[in-house]
Amino acid sequence: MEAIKLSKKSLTVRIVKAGVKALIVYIAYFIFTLITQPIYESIGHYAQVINIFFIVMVCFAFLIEFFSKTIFKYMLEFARGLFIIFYFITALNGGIIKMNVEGINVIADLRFFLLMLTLIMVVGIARTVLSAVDFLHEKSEEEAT
Amino acid sequence: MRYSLRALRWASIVLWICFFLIIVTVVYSAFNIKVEVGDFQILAENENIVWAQPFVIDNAGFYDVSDLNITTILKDTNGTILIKGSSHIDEIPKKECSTVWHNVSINLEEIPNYQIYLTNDAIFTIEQIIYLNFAKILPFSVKVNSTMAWGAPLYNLSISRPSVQHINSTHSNVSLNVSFENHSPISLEGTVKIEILNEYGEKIGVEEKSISVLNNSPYEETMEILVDASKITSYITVKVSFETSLFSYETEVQYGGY
Repeated sequence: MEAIKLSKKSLTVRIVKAGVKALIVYIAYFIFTLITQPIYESIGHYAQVINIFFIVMVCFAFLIEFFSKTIFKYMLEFARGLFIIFYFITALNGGIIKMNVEGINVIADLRFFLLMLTLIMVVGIARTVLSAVDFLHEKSEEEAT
Repeated sequence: MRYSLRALRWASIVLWICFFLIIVTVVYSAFNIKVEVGDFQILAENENIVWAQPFVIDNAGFYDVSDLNITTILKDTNGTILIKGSSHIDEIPKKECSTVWHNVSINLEEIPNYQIYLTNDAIFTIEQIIYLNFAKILPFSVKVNSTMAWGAPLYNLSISRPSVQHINSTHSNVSLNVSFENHSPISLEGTVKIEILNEYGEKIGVEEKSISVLNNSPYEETMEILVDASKITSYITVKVSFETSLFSYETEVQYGGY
């Protein structure tokens, strides 16, 4: 396995790089929570949904960077794309969200946005698959030469 | 392969930019919609009570608001629907302010068991549902529950025991007191009719008076009814009927020992 072949130095570099990327995602999450602070408490269990999403994104950011220049990177990117699609479909109840804000019931139909997000993620997954094929092709060419 | 990858990368970037642009403009526009809900008014119109509430909607955002629907449902304490009324507006274009009068017409006689609410105060639940389609891509609905105190127009209606006075050998005078409080938000205009019946159901005397009772005012009147003295039996029934433009109400009480 490629990951096993890594030297101690390059492993440290990879961990640092991956850590920095994960930190950037975490900072994005922190800024997001700061901006949405006024409504954060009123959105009920959706606050937890956002927290879980960002935790998983931090993990993915770390792992994808850690496994960069290996086939695992593409596998993880593929998994991340699928995760985002299914997580949003499940968490947003198929696009129909219901909230109770101080005794006021709010129902919003976000199916258009969910559809758009799914479309973007499908394009992203297609790109990942093609990138993986390209990576393997280059790898086999390198091995041949 | 390289070209396909580049094309997909650009497609992805363009889609992400569009996605965020739509989200940002929709959220910005949604926060720029100002809705002012005015105090409701209760008006009497023909045979109906009209609940009228103004909604001032200032659409200062980038997108139109379409299919605006305001529904009011009035429920009693058991959850039974008493009244349901809706107002619909096809479109409020962007950068325009629109005033919508949401009118719900209430015909008291169409309310299930409406007679209970003529003599008893109650607390009703008002359910207001506002539905709109924002930017034609974001259907949205808000439901607000509140309560409303209902004032009975004939609250504490009481008919005193009639006293019979013999005037001559053929006629007697029956006098009784009718009293109530008009707790409703509208003035009562109409007539009160008293019928005296003997124990065989024969009508032995009738009296009719017009009434005009302002809202939140008491009413008390002594009614004098001339009756046929020969037809008075030991039990008599007093039948009181109210006829107003908004409702009809009838009740009867039996008294004995005459």
